[in-house]
Amino acid sequence: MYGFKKLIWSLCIAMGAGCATNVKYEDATKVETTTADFGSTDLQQIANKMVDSLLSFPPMIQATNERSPVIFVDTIKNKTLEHIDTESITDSIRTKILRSGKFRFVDMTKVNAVKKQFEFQNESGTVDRATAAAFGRHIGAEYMLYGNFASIVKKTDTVKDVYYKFTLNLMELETGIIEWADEKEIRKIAKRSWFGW
Amino acid sequence: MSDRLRRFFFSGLAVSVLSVTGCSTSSVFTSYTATMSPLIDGVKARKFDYALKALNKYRNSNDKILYLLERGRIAQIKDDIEVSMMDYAATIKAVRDREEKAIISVSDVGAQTSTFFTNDNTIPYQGDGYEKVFLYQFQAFNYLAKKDIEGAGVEVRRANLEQHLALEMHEKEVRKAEEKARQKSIETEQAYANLNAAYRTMDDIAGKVKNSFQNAYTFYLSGIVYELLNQPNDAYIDYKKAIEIFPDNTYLQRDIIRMAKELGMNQELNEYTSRYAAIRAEVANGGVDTNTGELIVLFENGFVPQKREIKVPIPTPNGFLAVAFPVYTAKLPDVEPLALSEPDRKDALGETEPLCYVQSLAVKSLKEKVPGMVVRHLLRSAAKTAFQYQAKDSAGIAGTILSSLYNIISERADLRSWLTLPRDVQIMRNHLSAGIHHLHLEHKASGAFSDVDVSVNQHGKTILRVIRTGSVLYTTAITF
Repeated sequence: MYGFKKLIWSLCIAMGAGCATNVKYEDATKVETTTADFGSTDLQQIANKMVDSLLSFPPMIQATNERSPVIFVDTIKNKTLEHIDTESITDSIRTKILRSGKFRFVDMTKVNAVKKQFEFQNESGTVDRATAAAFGRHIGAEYMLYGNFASIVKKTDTVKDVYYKFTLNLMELETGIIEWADEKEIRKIAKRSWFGW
Repeated sequence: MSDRLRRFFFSGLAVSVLSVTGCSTSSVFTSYTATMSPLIDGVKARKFDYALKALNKYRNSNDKILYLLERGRIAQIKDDIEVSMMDYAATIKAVRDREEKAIISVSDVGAQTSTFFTNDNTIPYQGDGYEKVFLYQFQAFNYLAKKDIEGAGVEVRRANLEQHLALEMHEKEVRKAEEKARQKSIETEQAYANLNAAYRTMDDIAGKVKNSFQNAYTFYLSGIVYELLNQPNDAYIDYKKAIEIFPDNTYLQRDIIRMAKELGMNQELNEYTSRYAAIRAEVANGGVDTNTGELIVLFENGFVPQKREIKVPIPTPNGFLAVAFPVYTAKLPDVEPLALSEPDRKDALGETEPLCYVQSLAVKSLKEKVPGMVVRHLLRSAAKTAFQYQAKDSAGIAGTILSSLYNIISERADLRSWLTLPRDVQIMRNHLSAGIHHLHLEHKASGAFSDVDVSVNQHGKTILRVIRTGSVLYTTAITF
């Protein structure tokens, strides 16, 4: 009887332990393969490849030798089968380029907020004129960064094959010439397991 | 029946009872249509919240895919975009989870086994091909309502992929099921003969479509979204797919000619203009005024018919066993167009034309499932006959009565399908001057009418989605 009770108790404990949520910290750059969907590893791979490629491109090295040109980031067109936050990818790319010190950026998504602040500083009468930021001193962007994100998905009963292609272009605004472009391809294959619940 | 067999039967019975735990939330012993009919009547009487609440308790049931499909659709009719979006997202996740499940899954084997002792309703609902396509398409509407065209693009691409995959897998599956049925040819022959009589009435309706999952409405919306995304090539391809499925729609014919012209597809343009001569003359005459935008009317008419149960006698060594099969008895109704006019300008804008018969898709889908259903029924009737025989042996008359009673109670056809889908879909597409228009909509067949203000942007597109339930028209206008 005692043995039976012990068995029941240990079963209960085992079941309880299985159900309790388990949280731990992991390295953010560790390879993640939970599903074949777009994930953190893909984002990091794309950002790293694009930034390395741009900064090591000879004409770009030349252009940034003595000065740091200004770039504005346009949107990346999402043509995939997933709802992907492409802004998050361009954010990563922009941060990395910025931290290299070679380029500077203007943020077009914040134009309205900046305009409001300007109006507050210059027109509300609450801000000391001497310290107010003056109108008309913004620096015009020289380059535009834009691109496409496409995917091809093939599926059978047991296998899912996902192919991503991320293309990024840098256009010189004045001449309209694409000064640099590169693409990152990613291919992932997910197989269904044979046995499970 | 040996003791071992008997033990197997009763343990199977136990498994089946366990696997359908919470019988109140499953359709094993109460038919799905009986659960849904009052809710659909409620929706017709604008009692949306009651239906949404009632469906919410099935969120984690075996058939959650089905109940969430209904919920997402009802929320959309109510114009509650947030709820609809969440429910459809949950459905999409559930569908994916099913697709990515282990190939041999313990819970699936349990469900399949329990069909031997109860009925097909114990198999968790997976969603038919055409239902999954509509799921993605209706989710695209939610993104459009939020003016997120890129998000809508993702959903229509998913819908297109689903149609493509279904086409690939479909042929394989039908062949497999037919093969299986042929192996048991002697037994199936009688079942088929009895069934065919009942299913013959469905042939006309199913004959309207080539397969159950490709529909012109989804391709048409996909074309519109691609036009909004400024991808005219992709739009043209999807309009072409739509016209291949439904060649008679004159609005679609106009779109094809317009797009072929825009894209400089000269050879195809010649082909289309010779095929649709009436449209060509019209397009040549009326040059489009520059200060106009497009009004695209998408009219989703009524509710798709429900399945009914018929009992088909199947011979067994112990006499006939009544086997329940699902069947569609509703006839294909006449086209009931929606008329649009602008009373302020004393101008009749035109009538909608059919683009998709959802009823035909549903009927075709059921017909495609017949071979698999027959095989399962034969296996089941074998198990049930063995039980009947054994019961007679060991418990005499009382046993026979009890086992017959069990057969009657447990023999229920699988009546599950997405019931809040429209019966048919019609479209209209017109150029209107930029600005606000007061439109009058009238549906003569049901007596439903509605007045709606839509704004049209220059060179823009305004999507007016009209859903009819009973004699009420629900309208949503999205201006781009």
